[in-house]
Amino acid sequence: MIWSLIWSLMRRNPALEGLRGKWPVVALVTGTLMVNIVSFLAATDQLTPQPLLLVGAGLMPMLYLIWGPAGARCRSFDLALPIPTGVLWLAHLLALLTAGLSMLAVTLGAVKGFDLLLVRVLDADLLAEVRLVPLALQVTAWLVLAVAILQTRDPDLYEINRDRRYRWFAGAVGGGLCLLMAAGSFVSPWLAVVPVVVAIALYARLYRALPVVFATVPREAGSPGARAGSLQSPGSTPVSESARTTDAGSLAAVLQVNRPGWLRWHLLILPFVYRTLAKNVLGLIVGSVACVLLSMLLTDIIMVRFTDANLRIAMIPMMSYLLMSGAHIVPTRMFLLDALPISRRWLFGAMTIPGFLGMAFGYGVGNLIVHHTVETPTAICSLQEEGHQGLCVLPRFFEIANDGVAPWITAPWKENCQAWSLPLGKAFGAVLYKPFTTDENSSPYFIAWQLSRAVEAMYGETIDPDELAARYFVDGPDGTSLLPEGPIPITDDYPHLRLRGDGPFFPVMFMIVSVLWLLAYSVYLRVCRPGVGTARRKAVFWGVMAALFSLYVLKFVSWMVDWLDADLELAAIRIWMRDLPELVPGGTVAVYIICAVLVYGAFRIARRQFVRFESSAASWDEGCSVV
Amino acid sequence: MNVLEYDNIHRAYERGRDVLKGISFAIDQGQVTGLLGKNGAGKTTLIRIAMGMIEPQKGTVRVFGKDPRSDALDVKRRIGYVSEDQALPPFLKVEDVIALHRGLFPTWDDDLALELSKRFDLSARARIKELSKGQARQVALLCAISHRPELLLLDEPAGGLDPAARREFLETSIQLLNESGTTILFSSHHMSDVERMANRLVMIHEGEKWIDSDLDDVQEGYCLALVPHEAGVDCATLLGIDSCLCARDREDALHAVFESEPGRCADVLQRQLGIENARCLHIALEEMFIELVGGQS
Repeated sequence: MIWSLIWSLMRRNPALEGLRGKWPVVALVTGTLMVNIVSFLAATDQLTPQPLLLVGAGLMPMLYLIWGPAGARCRSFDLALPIPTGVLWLAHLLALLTAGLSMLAVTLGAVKGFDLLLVRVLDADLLAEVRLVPLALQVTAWLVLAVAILQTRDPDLYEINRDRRYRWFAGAVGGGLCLLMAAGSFVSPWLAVVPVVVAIALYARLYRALPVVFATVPREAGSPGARAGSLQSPGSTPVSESARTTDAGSLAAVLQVNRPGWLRWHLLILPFVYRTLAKNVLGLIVGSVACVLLSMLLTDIIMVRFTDANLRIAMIPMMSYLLMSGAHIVPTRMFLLDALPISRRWLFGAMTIPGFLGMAFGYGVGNLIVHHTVETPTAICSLQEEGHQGLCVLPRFFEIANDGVAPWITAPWKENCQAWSLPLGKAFGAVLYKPFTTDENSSPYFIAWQLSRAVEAMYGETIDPDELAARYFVDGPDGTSLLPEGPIPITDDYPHLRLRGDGPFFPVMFMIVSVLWLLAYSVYLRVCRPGVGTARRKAVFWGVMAALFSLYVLKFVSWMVDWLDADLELAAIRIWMRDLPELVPGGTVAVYIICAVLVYGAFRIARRQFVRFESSAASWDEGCSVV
Repeated sequence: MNVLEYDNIHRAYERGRDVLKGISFAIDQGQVTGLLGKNGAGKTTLIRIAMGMIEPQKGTVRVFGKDPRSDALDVKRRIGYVSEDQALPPFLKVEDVIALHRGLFPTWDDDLALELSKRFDLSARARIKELSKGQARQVALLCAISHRPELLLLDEPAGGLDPAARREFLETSIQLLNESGTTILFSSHHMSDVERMANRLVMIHEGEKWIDSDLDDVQEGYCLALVPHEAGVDCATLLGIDSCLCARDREDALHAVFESEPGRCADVLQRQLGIENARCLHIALEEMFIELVGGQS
C-alpha cells in the first residue's frame, strides 16, 4: 500500500517528469562528445581515460539535480492530501535518485555505444581499460551524496527556493563533488564508500528533522526563502508604502531625460530583448562562453597541446550545432515581444549578430594564443630518407593530384623523379604529393633546383639554385656535394623573406559555420507557421539538430573507416586554402567578399523566415514549453 | 472610417479544429466595442490577429487600412495593447519598463505617463516581479495608453483583478476614450464592464459571430421568452421561428432568446404557434449571454 503510494507520488514528481524534456538528449550529446574526446586522448596516449570519464559521466546527472526541474519536493496539490511528510520526502528522494541514475545511464549508454562502434570499425578498443560498472557505481555513490547535501536547503519548504544563494551553493556542491570524485578515482575506487556513508548519516538527520507539514512559504519573513523567487509568484508581495514614497519623483526624473540616443537606446533595449528571449540568464552566459570557446577550437589552438589540429575541421558542424541549440527558445518566447513595435528584422539581427561576433572573437583569441604559444615549425629541412637526401617541407606546401597519380617532376635539363605521395583516403581517389621530392638518383644540382622551387613556393621569391647550392651545400667524404641534415636557415640568411600565410581560413570557416547555422534555422522557422502542430515543430527542430550532430559524428566515422586520413584531410584543406586566393579573381579580398555575400544570403533567407514565423500558440497557453 | 476591419477571418491551431470560422465585422473610429464569448470562443485569437501576432489562415484584417503583419511596426506604434497573460519583463524596474516603451513609441506623452503613475501610485523603482497583479496590470495600462494610441486593444484586461482594481482600470480607459476619441476593442467576461464601457457589442460563439449590434439595440431589441411545457412545443419548433436565436429546455419552462421586442415576440408566438401563455421579458446582457452560449441551443 505504502509503496504503491510512493510509486504514484514518484511518477508525478517534477524530478522524473523533467526527464521527458530535453535533458536526456543533452546527456546523450554530452556523453558522445565526451567519449569522442576521451578516446582521442586515449589513442594519443595523452591520459588514462577512467578519471575523465568518471567526471564526465557524473556531470550531467549532477547538473540535472542542481538546475533541472528537481527543486519541488512534491506538488502543491499533494500538500492538501493526508500524506505524511516522510512519505512525500521519500518519494521525492527516490524520484531524484531515479532521475539522476537515468541521466547517468543515458550518458554511459552513449559511451558504451561509441566504444562498440570503435571496436567494430577500428578493431581496436581504445577504452578497453574502462570498467563501466565500477565507474557507474562510483558516480552513483557521489550522486547519492549530492542529493543529500542539496536536500539540506529549505528543509521545511515543499520547494527549494532557487535564489542566487542557492545557485552559488549548488554550484559549489556540484563542482566540489566532481573534484572529489576525480581525486578519489586516483586513490582507490573503494573511496566511493565514504560518500555513501556520509549521505546515509545526512539522510537520517534530515528525516528526523522533517516538519509535520511542508510549508509553501517560509515561516519568517525576511528569511532567505522569503525572497522573491519560485516560492512566491510575482505579485505576492505588493510594494510597501514606504517604497513608493521614497522614489515618488523617480519616474518624473526618468521622463524628464531626453529621449535616449542610438547608443543609450541600444544599451537599454538589447539586454531587455536578450533577457526576455532567454529562458534564464545562466543559460545565456553559458551559451555565450561555449560559443567563444568552441570558436577557439576552429583555429590551430589544439596544437598548443597536440601535434596537429585536425580536430578543427570536425568542430565546424559542432559550432553550427551550438549556435542552433538556443534557436528553439525564440519561437516559444517571441510572444513576449510581439506586442511591441520592435521590428522583426531588427530583432533577427540583434539575435544573430552576437553569435557572429562571439565566433569571430573566439577565433581571434584562439589565433592569438596559437601565435604566442605554438612554435612555428621549421619550414624547410634536409633529411636522409630511404637512403637518399630529401627535402622536408610543411604539408600545406604539398600539392593534390586528383587523378590519384603523383606526377613526375622534371628539371629543365630533363632530370626527373616521381613525386612522393600519400592517398587522401578511401573516399577520394586523390593523392597528396610533395612537389619537391628527390630520389636516390637525384644529382646535387637537382636537389638545389628543388630547394629553389620550395623556397619560391613557400616564400614567393626565386633564389637561384646555384646561390643556394653555394650557401648550403658542403662537400661530402667522397667529394660529392651534399646538403647537411637539419633545418635550412633560409630566413636567417634572407631576413626579408616571409613564409606564405595559411590562406583565408577564417572567412571560409566562418562562412561554412554561419551558412549551416542560418539554413538550419530557416528550416526550423519554416515550420513555425499557422497550422503546423507543436509535434511537427519539435520533430523538425530535433531533425535539424540531429543532422548537424551527425555531420560531426560522420567526420569521426570517416576517419575511423579510412574514408579520409585525418591529418592528410587537414593538409589538403590547408592546400586548398593556400590556393584559393589564386583561384578566385581578386585574391584574398575577393574570397572575403564572396564569403560575406554567402553569409549575407543565408542571413537574408533565415531573416525572411524569421519575419514571417508565428510564435507557437502553445507557448501562450502552456508556459512556453514547445521544446 | 474603419479603424479595424475583419473580413471572413478563419483560423485553426490544429488541423480540422477551427477557432474562428469566417468572422467579419468592422469598428469605426471612436467606437468602444465589447467582445463577448465564452472561453475558447476565439476572442483572444481575434485580438491577436489585429495585433499581427497571429496570421489568419483565410480572410483579411486591416488596421488603419493596413495589414498588421506586413506593416507591423507602423500599426503597432498606433495601438495600445493589454492582455491578461501579457508578461512584462519581471526583472525590470517600473521606470525601465516605462523608459523602454517611451523609446518604442514616437507619440509617447510624458505628462500623461506621469499623471497615470501618480494616479496608480506606482513605485518607479520597484521591479515588476515585486508588484501585485493589479499593480503590474496598471503598469501595462500605463505603457499601453501613454502614447495616446488610436486603437486600444484590451484582451480580458481586468481578468483576475478584484472589483475595485477592475473598476479603476476600466475607468482610466474610459477617461482616455472621452479625452481623445480612441477606438477601443475589449474582450471581457464581465457583462457589467461591457454594459458600462461599450457602445457596441460583438458576441462570438464557437468561432462564429452571433451578435453584432449597438448595446442599446441589444438591450431593447432582444427578449427572453419563457414557454411553459404545457404549451406542447419543443425547442426545435421554437428554433423554426426566424427571430429565435436559441432555445433550451429548462426545468421550469422552455427558454428561448428572440431578436425582437417582448411585445412583438409574444405576438409572433401566439400567431405562429398558438402559444398564449408565454412570458416575454426584457433580458439582461448577462442572462442573454448565459442563454446564448451556456448550453445546447
